[in-house]
Amino acid sequence: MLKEYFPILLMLVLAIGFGVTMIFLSSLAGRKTATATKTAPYECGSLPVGSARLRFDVKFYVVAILFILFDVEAVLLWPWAVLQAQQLKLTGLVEAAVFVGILLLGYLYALRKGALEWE
Amino acid sequence: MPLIDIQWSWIAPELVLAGFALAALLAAVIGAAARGRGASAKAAMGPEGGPGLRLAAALSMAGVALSAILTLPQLAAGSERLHFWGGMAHDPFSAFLKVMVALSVLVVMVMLGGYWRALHNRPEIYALLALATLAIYFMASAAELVLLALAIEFLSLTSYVLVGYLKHEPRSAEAGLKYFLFGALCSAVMLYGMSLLYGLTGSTTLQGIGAAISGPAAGTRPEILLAAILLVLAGLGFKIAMVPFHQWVPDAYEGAPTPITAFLSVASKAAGFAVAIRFFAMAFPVEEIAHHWATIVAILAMLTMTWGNTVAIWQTNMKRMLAYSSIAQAGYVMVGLAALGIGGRAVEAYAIPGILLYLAVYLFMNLGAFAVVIAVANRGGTEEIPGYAGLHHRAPWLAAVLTLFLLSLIGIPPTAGFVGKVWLFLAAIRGNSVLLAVLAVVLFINSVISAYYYLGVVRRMYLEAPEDSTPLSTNRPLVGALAVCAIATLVIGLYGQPLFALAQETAATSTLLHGVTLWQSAGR
Amino acid sequence: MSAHQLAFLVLGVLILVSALMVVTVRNLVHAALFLILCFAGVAGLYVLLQAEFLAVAQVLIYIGAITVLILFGIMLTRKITGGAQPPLASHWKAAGAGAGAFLLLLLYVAMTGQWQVSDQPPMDSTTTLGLALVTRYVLPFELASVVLLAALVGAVLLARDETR
Repeated sequence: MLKEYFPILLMLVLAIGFGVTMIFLSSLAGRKTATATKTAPYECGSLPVGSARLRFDVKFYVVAILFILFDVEAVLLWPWAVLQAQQLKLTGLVEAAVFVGILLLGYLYALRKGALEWE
Repeated sequence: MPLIDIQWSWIAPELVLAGFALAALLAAVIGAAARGRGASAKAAMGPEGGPGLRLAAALSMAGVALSAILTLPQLAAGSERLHFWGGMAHDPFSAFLKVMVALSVLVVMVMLGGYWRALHNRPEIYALLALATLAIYFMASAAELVLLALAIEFLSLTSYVLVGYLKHEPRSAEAGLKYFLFGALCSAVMLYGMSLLYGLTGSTTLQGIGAAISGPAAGTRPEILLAAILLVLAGLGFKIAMVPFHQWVPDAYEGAPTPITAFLSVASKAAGFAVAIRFFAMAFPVEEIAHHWATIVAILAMLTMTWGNTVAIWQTNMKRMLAYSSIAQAGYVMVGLAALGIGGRAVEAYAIPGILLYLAVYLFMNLGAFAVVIAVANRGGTEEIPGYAGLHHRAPWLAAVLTLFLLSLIGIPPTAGFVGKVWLFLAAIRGNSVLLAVLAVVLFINSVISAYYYLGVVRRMYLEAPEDSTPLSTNRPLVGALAVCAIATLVIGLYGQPLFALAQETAATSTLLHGVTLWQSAGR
Repeated sequence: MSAHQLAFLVLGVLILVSALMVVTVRNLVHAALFLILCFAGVAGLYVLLQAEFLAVAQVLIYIGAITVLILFGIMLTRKITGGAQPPLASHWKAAGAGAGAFLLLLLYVAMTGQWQVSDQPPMDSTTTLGLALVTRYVLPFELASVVLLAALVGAVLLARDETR
């Protein structure tokens, strides 16, 4: 059964190998002129300079928790979705609807509470 | 077998409770939105609360009450069902516990109405309590490890939030965090134990595990099974506040809003015992193994009682004292569990009825004691024990009912606590075992130790002069809760025969708890 | 040694080493990154056990969501962001002894237990699981959504600042 996973392993080896080779080659062949701008860390669009120890708003945390909860919901629905087409037409649909309906209530709750607002 | 074989009518109480709890949640959030923000929100603060608070409270209480009424028919004999593929057990035992827990949650909700701390526009506390009740309903009925683990996790999750509900008070937030960290560790250990059980027996239903142990898995060495059982016991011990899984109790009880403390000490504990009894009686009734787990439970019971009572003596805060007392009380109930495993058929008439009776009695006396704590602490009062000095002069009725509850917690006749303790004591001495006899003696000694600190509070209330002699006023919800608890404590103590009969009948007709193999050899 | 055994060995070493790094490395952000590696190794173990659904769930939930939450948690705490911390708390000896005793117990149980091994050939695990979720385990399935809802409400209640 492991044969099915051989392409994934191959992909993994290729990806790691490509990255390592590129870094190695560029350090070998590249020309190094270290100016102040060049040694500064690069981040797209924003200036990444300042203390790394600033505190983030707790809002991020609420969003992250909500993300986990809906992530778990999606994962739990997945085996049902695989199955749905073949067996259990109406009953399965109703059961999943109840499942999603209850969580929809949670979504409404978060919405009304302003947990998803970004002031 | 049909693909879907579900008799929804049997879980009508659960469905109704879930529906009402969700509706209460909706009411809470709609109320919050209707009030709007800013100045008008300030007006809605305070114990009266806004329309959302009142609607959420009404819906939650209606849901709990209705579900209890719908459960009543299941109390009748001959209604035992094991359905949902062995996942849910409906029998008089579970019905008894559900009605009892519903009753205690109703009293807690009434107490919340008289709690002095403003709930700060957050009526969700009622909905969360209703959801916690739902979790306990599932715990009382679950006969399958997956559902059981989920139900326990459900109760834990809601409890963490309830304990940390006063998040702007450092003590409450700290209590919530400690409770959470300890609980997460205990459930992880419990899940590990459950996975071992599944691996050893190949089944996740309690009945299947019981059958496997006297069948295909009969050759499994007792110590291996025992290791798995012990890991599961960690999770259950956390819920019932058993030593050594009791460390969270004092901090969580002290920091939580007092009505929530009352809920934890009564309902959550009863749920833990419900699971423990079903788990042990359905999955491990075989004598060889029952003897081992019961011996461990007996030793832990002695430790739990003694530790709780000894440390309680040194407490200066009323809620902390009641926390340690609640640890000790868990030890008393564990005596019944140990007797069940060691005594087997000889104590059948006492062990499970004794546990049910004691839990019912404990409900009223402990809820009552916490209601007095709220009444004394209301309006800038204190939760420290010295603050109870001369309570007799400030509020004679409060002092009188607290005395009643404390006497009942010691187990002095004619209170309900006495009859509860007598039955557990009987279960221990009828078991024809040295260990159980020792357990009975320890139970007796512990009652004497507990008298010291309970009576200390009574002495302060009656014999010491108050520092501040202004009369204490109580509000209506608290008077109601106190009246129910005090009358029940007295009536059960004086005229408790119907309740004993009911408990005995319940245990005798819950045949799922004494299945075919109960207390028989594995027949190898 | 079969390919199966080799894969198990590689994954086992990966999991153990990364788990050890999680608790010993001085920078908490690095610890979280090692945790991802550890989770990935466990996902690999699930694949070896032909539990594909679990493997994917492990990647989606643990690697995708839980580690993000942990990283947020680290960033939210002023004291530990970026700074190096002593990796071991003061009670590490007692904790280590406890964990070691637990390990010995589990090893003993694992080595001497008679495990019920199924002789049925493995089926398409996701479809089987889906069928189980809407039939035999429909109650836990629906209860799970209520539990998730309660968790959501609790998270919003405890973490949202409503003073504004």
